[in-house]
Amino acid sequence: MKHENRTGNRLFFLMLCGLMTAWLVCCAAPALASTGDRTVLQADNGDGYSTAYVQDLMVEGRKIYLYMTGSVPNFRVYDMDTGETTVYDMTALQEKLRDTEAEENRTEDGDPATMDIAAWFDWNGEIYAILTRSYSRNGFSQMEGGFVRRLVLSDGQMDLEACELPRLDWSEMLEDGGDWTYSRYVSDHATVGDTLALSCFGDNGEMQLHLFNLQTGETEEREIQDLNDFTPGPDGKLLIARYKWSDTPEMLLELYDMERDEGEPFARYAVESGSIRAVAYREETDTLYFIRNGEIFAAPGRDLENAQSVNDCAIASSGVFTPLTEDGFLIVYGYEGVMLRNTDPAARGSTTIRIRPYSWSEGYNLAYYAFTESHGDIGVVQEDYGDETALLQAMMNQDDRVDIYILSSDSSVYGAVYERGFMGDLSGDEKLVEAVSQMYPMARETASRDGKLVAVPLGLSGESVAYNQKAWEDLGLTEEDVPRTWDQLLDLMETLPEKLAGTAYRAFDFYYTQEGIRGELLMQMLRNYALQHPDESFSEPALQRLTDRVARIDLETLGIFTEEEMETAESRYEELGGMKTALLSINSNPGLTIYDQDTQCLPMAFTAEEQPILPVTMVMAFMNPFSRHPAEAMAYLECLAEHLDLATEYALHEELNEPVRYPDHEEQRKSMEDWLATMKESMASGEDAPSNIRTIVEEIEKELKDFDETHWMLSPAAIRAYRDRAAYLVPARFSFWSQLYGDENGEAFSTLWAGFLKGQKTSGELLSFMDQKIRMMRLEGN
Amino acid sequence: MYTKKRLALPFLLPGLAGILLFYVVPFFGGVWYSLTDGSFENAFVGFDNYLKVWQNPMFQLGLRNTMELSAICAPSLFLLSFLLSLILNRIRPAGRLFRSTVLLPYLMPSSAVLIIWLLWFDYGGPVNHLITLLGGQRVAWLQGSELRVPVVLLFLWKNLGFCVIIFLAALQAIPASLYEYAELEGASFGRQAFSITLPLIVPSAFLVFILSFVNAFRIFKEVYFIGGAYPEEPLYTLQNYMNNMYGKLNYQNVTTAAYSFAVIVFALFGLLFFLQHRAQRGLN
Repeated sequence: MKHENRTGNRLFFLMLCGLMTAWLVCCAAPALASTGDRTVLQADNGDGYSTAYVQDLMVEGRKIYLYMTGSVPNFRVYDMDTGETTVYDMTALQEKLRDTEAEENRTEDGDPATMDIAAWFDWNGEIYAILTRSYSRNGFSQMEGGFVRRLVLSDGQMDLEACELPRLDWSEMLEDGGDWTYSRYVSDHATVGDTLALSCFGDNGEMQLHLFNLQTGETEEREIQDLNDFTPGPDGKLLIARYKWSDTPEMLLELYDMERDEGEPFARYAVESGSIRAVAYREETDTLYFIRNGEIFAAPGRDLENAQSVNDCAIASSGVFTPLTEDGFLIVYGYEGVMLRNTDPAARGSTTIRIRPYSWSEGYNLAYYAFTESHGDIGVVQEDYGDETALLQAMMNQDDRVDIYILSSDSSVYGAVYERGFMGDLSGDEKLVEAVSQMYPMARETASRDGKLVAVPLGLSGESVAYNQKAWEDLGLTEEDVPRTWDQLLDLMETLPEKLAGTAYRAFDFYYTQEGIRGELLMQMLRNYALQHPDESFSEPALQRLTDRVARIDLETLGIFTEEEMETAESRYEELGGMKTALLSINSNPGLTIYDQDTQCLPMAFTAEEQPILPVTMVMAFMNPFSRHPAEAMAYLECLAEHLDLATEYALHEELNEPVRYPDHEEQRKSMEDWLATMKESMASGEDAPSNIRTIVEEIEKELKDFDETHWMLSPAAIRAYRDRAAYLVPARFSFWSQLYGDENGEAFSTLWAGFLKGQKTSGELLSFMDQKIRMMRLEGN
Repeated sequence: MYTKKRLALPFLLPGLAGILLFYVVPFFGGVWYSLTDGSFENAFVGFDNYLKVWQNPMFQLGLRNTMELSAICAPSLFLLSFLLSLILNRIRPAGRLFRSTVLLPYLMPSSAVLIIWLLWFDYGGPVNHLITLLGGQRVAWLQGSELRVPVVLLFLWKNLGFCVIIFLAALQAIPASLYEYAELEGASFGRQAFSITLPLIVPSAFLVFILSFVNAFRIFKEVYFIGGAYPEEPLYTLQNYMNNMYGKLNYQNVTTAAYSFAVIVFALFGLLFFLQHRAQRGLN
């Protein structure tokens, strides 16, 4: 009896162990499974400013070579086996190429010259550069090219050395302007056997194909109609993509026989189904891969119309074609990054969430990179921008296909889904609640409904009238002169001709026309009115008086031209004072941007007693309440909240006040110092006209003196100014203009608006039309 | 007899299924929509939507305008078509030609006709030209409440032919001997019209009256072509309201407005049926 008990216990124990093991395997398997997808490079580091962008990509063996241009150009080599990247500095090479005194740079006639890299190509396991030479003859710029150099990478430095390849006949790539010549920009390259194919754009914007024989250096131009891109294809041929723009546009893939100058059909794709990019071909399986709407598709038998999704990819590829590795990874690259994406559907993540953006935000890609790195088992399809009106229909149908939507807060669709509660409740996610709770109250309010968190703010921007702080002070204007009402602004504009006379400032930027300024001022004024006086008619006498004032304001004496006059005025830009700094701007962003100039946005009111406002639009992300993957969607929203771009992060969080330098601040300072030293050397040697060089030296010295003070990505002054105006920011909950322009009445309004700006229609006509339409819309409700 | 009825059932079933599927189910589906809040929870809200819609100033405006336009259009159409059919019925030699041409506007697409109509009623158009020739002042027909005049005229012009044809059919079905006898008895034209014609065409007249109202309630196409989704206030009809709500995918308000209007229409038609029944009895 005791023995039986023991056996039973053992059996029970074994069963328990088995169950535990099975449970562990089931739970851990997805986590352990690896899609192999990885980020090779993320050039955009979140501040909307990058020191280097991917200019070119080449693959040799298991290595990816990246040529990065920008303020800190370099060469990167990514080893696909180890996952390591080695960076090679280009500074020394650049100096060498720019050295006019260097013997190897001089022309055959001994003229001093500089060299530039026109193109890269890979051949027989090596990477080569094609150089062009620039020099001056009789005061005109001249160029020659076709010099081939081999890339040498060692000790963190890149260099170019002479090689066995002959100089390429570059004559077809040069544009001869009579006295001057320049080399056309090389847009694509491919090497097939000993033939190098390069493309550039012709005078009429058409793509030209040039074939170079790498053994002889001879060149031949080929005319291929509607050519868009090319890549090495099977059987020593070039796989080319042509776009045929007709009523039913389509992309034709052809195998181009370079010897016989003939193309044979390879595949075709109807563009109406959505544009495709990052096309790659695997000969062994006769399969074409491509990216469409955020997903990678495989088309066995080259049948592009009936392709199957195999993975996701949010990066926008630069060209039509992209390389495919032997182990089946698509190398997807754009200016901002490079990714390896698996084309094996079996390796795909266990869950895929889908994001549909209707509005743009700087932080999308940052979150995508971060999420795919940290959640390898969850695929993320970030669709292309679409028509937002379909969203409400999807909600009505309880469509669960999309997990996250991204919309502008002023969109009528956002208003409708918000009002009807078609937004997933995010209140259960502590991280999200915490992230949003630290934002400004306006952001929290826009993201909440009935006390519940329903959205995550991702961006904030708008348009407003602003003044240049320095110009303001230089003109003797004080804080008390800052207009707070529209009347005060118009009063100020009336006094400007007198104030600006004989100064280094002009009222508005040269390129603004009278119609443009009137239109923009009026647009902002009416938009503010709609926000501040939602229940009042547009036909109120006070508003009509202001509208008439805007229509009558004398912009001619402020040196602003009409649209008609501008055509001739442009040619007299300098003579007419176009170089002068503008005191006022009419479409400054009241949000925070890294390109913030020394401008102060003007919160405006209609009366002195009224609180002035600065309307802004917010980009909001929210979860589909019908989502089948709420946990994953919330995790992605967390990622979006954590990876806001720098300016948005500062704009939404009051406590962030630490100024931020440009990442290449030191490099830029050094570059300026070097330039100054070179100029000073030239001045001392007396080679050029000394007066010119002296002026340049003085300018560089002045710039260098102000450099540390002015060269900020987010300056202390910009942050301070934003904090001051943040109290006036009001997120718009409806788009005034899209309502007016949006439907069948849009054309009538457009005609009326143009007529008013040209003085053919009265303010009464304009306002009564707006009154009728906007009021009716509001009264109808959502 | 019972067996025969059972045999008929399989033949009726497809038709009944169609009615059930395409009329009854959507009808009750619509009723259900009008009783829910249309939110994520789609909660049952009873008659809240009805209260909300009835209180909406744009619904009220649309309903008022629709009723006003119908009150103008339907009786005008009825009277004009009756008179015209009487005249056409009397014209013997060229009657057939006129009877055919009177139907032409009904067959023409509204958008094409509207262009000509708008040209006529333009501030500098032929209508105003005629008015000035007669010593009057020009009228801005295409603005404000005056815009109703071309819309009503266009409606009459377009629908007149169809009603005339129905009236003519009814008139021609009356035995000529009745009129001959009345003439011999010395009955005047008026007496003949009210004592012979009218009693005998009451069912057709009622049909024309109902159709006139139905068409007048649906006066939207012309308004939409002229003023878009948001025309001037005097032209904003209930169809505008429902169409705009549909554009905003607010199915609750669309169905609520539609059923509210349907109740009014049914009540009105019920009253008309009652009156017709009484009138028919009296005339008999």
